[in-house]
Amino acid sequence: MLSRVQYLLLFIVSLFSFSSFSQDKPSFKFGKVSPEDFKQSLPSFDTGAHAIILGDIGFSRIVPNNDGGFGYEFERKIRVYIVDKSGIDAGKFEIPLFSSTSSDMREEVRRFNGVTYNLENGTVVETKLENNQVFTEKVSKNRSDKKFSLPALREGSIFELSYLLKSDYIFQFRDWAFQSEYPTLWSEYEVEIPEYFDYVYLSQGYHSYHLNTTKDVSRTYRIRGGRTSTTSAAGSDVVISGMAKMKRWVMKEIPSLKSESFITTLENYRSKIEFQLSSIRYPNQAPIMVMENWQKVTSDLMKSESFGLAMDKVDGSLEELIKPHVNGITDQTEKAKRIYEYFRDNFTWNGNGGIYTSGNLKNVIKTKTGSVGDINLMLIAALKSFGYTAYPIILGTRSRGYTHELYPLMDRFNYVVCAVLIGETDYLLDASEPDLGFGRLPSRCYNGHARVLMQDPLPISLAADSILERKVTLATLVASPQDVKGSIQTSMGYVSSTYYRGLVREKGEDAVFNSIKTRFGTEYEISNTHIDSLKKKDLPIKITYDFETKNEAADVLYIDPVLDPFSKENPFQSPTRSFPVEMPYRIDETYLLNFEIPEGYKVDEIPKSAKVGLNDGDGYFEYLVSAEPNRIQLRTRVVLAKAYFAPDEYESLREFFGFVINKQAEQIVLKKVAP
Amino acid sequence: MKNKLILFLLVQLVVAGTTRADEYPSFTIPKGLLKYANSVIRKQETILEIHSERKVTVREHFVLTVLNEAGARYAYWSDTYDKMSSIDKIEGNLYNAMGQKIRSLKKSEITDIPVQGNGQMIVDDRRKYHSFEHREYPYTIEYISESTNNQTMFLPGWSPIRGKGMAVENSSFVIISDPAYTYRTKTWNISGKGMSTSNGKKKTEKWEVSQLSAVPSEYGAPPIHEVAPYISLGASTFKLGNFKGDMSTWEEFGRFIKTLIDGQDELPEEEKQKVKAIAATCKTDREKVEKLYRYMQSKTHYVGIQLGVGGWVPFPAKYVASKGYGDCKALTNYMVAVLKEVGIRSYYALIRAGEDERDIPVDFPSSPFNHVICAVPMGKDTTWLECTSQTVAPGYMGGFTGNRHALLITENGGVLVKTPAYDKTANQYHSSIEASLNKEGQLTITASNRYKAMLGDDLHHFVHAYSAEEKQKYLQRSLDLPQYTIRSFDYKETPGDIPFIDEKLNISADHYAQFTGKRLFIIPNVLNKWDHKLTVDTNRLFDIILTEEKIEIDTVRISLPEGYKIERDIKLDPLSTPFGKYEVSTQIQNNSILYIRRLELNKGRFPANRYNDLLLFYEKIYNTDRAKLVLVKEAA
Repeated sequence: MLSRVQYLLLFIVSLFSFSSFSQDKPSFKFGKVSPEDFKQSLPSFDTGAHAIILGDIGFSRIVPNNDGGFGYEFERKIRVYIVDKSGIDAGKFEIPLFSSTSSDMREEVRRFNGVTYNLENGTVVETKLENNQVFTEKVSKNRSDKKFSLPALREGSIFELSYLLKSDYIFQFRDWAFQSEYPTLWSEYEVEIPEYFDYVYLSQGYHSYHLNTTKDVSRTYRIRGGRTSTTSAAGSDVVISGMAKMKRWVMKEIPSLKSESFITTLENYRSKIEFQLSSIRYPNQAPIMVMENWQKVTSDLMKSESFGLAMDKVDGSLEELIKPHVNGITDQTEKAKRIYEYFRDNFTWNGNGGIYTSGNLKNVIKTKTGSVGDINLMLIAALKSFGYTAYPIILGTRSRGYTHELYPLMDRFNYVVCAVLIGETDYLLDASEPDLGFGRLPSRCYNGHARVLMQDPLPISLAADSILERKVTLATLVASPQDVKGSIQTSMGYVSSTYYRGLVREKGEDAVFNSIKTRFGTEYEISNTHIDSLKKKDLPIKITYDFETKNEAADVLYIDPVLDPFSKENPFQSPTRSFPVEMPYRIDETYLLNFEIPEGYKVDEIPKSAKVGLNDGDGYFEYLVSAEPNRIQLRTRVVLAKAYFAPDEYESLREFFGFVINKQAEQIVLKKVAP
Repeated sequence: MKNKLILFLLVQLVVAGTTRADEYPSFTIPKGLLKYANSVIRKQETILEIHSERKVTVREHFVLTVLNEAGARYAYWSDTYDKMSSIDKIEGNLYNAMGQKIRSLKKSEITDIPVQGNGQMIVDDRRKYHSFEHREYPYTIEYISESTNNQTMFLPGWSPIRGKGMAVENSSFVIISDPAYTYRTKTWNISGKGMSTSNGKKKTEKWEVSQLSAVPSEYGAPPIHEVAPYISLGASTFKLGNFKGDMSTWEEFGRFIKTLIDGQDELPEEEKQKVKAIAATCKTDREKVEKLYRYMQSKTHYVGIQLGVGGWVPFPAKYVASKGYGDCKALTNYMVAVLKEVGIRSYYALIRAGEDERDIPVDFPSSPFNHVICAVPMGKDTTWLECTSQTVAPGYMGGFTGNRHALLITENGGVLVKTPAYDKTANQYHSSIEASLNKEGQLTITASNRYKAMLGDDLHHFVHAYSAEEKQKYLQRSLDLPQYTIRSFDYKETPGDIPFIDEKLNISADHYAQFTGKRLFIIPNVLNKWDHKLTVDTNRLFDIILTEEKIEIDTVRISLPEGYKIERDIKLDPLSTPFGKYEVSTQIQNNSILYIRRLELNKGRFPANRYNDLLLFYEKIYNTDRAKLVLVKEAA
């Protein structure tokens, strides 16, 4: 059964309590630049900076707009110091402005003010950003960008920019990122939200707030006459008074955000705050629930033309389509498998994600091509029409970032798969991937919280820790003074198997063996090549081949016994680590060698057996070697018992792999026996 | 009469029936065309009509069968437009393998986005794009489109095979023009003259190809236009907005460009004083050019703003003087103005920039340029200045603009001049490594490396654009060592006609060598391993073109724990091939390994049948660079 799993939020910001001794504004005043300000040293916490954001201050407040409703005003002031030429890009801006073609909703920007300050012969010279340097680019029907570059920027310049943005989109209230690609000395965001609006605040990141305060103020709002949902009287202005909440968040000395290897997406680690409108409560009106709970979201989705209703509309025609493929099959699991395979093998994924259908599913049935939503929702509909209990599971892929268990924030979900319940067993299915087997998901889906959209929507955890990539290689090696012959048989892990199936599908089996031939080089003959279980997609594949090369009749022979090492270089090269290591799966790799010592030779030197553990049972490496007079047997095994490692576990992880790589590079030496 | 009408209707119906239904089933493609093919052009008709110097229309009908995923890279329709051109019609259909129509293009599916180049901020150009995003192979797409261009400076050419892996069943190119209008053509792999007809009012020239096999993708193969038919088209007299020009000769075309830049070179008074003051400190013209170029680099940066007449008129020099930025035209125009102010003549020069970009056809004046640089005649030499870079050495032209023709815009019109090329006497890498190995197999490395001329092109960017922290991070992941830590590093660039960069690295490499009992296994080539292997190909079709020429010399000294001698040496007879030379030597001196490696690469064009030799040459270098030296401890 699908089980309810505790989903742990990985980043919990520890909140500073407000102290009256804390500095509560940046160390400079906007508009006042003195020669002293150019003596800017690199921050000790980010010595690699090309530019330093000295202060970045945003203030958003919800106020009546021109259309008889509420919108918000976002005011931003930023001061930046350019450290070197690579930092000049910090002075290039693109401000997207959205507008709707179906309503009056729009955004506009006002009061542009940009000044660059340069120190020339001891005096501060100002160069203003002029209006004709601000360009407007129409990106799409709904989006225009304001684009400009601050003038006269060079090494050592300071610039300030301020603007006011007016927006009607209170549903997408302005988020704030405290962390950017440049270090920031002071980042501050303040919001003023009238009591009529409830927002959920979502903050994430590895940095704590320097200040985090709330206060209530009283406000009077004049709502313009005209169309409005706040008052019944249209045509004349209405004045209402009420309270507003002012919240202010400040972070100090935030380093730039830098990428690391083995990470799902860097966006998961950026310090930022986001807002989700949850309800609107105008005076004397029933509250409007905007962000619903999971129950409501699920039932809405099921009534949506591009989700639940889309499934209902096609199930009949799907039944007709599939019937010939399941005729006479009575076993429930086997039948479900056939249905799944029908979609996997006959429909092609167009590369688009998303949880919704992309249009009319009847059209998709015609073109046999569709998005993830198209294909998997159809699969669910088809299973249901054959009497199965099947549900959609929505999730965010690893590159998209984590989804939220508590709040149904739908824009974070970009993928949908199918859960089918047969007897007591549930199978998770994705028919958009042509190389997957029944009950398998692609590794990009393993990103923590996912939601099964059933009557009582169920949170589940798709953890990378739950996938095991097991690889077993059997090698034989027979050496004589004239030649070296051997064979290799590798049972791949399931993720690699999927990769190879795709490669063979697109480029043929030759592609697999050509790369093996290139790796061995022209001195080797590769023969008896074979790939097992290519078509049995539920099983991992097995790759086998023989190789042969000439040997030199030397007195001493050197043998590289590990023909298929885990890796030749440490996958963790960096000596330090800031973020967790997020590998896509657990690892279990075994290599077995059976080596026949050529006649007339004996072992001169052989590597020692060894076993090392990683932390407390997080993994181990063993290297076991045994020599008989005419044969050597070697077995190495690399096991990682988990896929997620905290930054403080990194050093031992790096050391562990250093040991593995070194040990696997050791050689066996044979010596000719004196006749 | 009545009967006739019925017959007429019948004929119409039959014609309609045969032309529309199942016209392009995939299985009717001749077998011979399928070899190497990922897609096949079933039919392409391009009709270019030159109505006047201000109006050119292009009508295109294009049917492509996509055989597999690799062929899908051409399964789209796309065109750009700007203030001087428009896209008037796009129709499209998608057919399945049987040739049955699945669906038609919907207007709402066409995307319309600004063209974004690298570093560009704002341009007039926009692109319309459509793809059926179909994935079930084979399938066929059909597009019918029309566009209008209100200038004649750029006339589209014809390239029936768009890229590798594409075969052609039938493709034709028709030019319709006024009998009095002259255009010029340059053709590759097809007759220079098309079939001409004239009806008095219009003349027509037509080229047609059919049954062209696909060109396979091969390592180092010539570009597609060298091995497949290709036609380039050039105007004689033309109009661009309100400007009128002639490009029948480079000289005339240069004269036209001059009209676009004339009068844009005025500097503000303050700026004049500044540059004069800088020049006053210099003794020679050469020094003035260098100092003023460095001044320009320090106060400006590149921002792509291409508005106005097709993006061909530079922003005035005074704009750059006050704002400190501009695109390549604006920055070059400013540089020319600055030099003019101190009495040094220099030229605005058009060039086709890009790594491995083919040279322009010098015998065919046209407008293939995409970049502008500054050329300063100095006696019999020319000093070239790349004005969009804030760091490059004055006079140096790397892989982006070097070794090709530039069109200098002189007072007497356009003049073609070649930019500097760098051969292997210039492109050199010298590495000297002192290292010591401890008993745990850890190697402590001190490397001093010098990268000259084009070998420093990539490093130049790294040295200037990366902060110390970013350099550390990059070095920490880019070296070919099993596990290592960068202890320190330093870079020093020496500008000049042949600039070079000195690199110093201190590295400790863990697990570098393996000790087993009395033996020691170690790869003496520490930092410079050849990393390229070719795949065996017994059917090589085309010549091999190698573009890189260089010399690398590595000297490595590794001090060892005491008492080791060589048990197995790295054996390789020196390689000497048309592609280059390679040799290594190792010896033990005073408990140290002394390893010397020399690699010399030639550029050139080599016949297809030498491919296997090249493969072996690369493979031997690859294997030898990774070969382990086996040392054994002498019995005490």
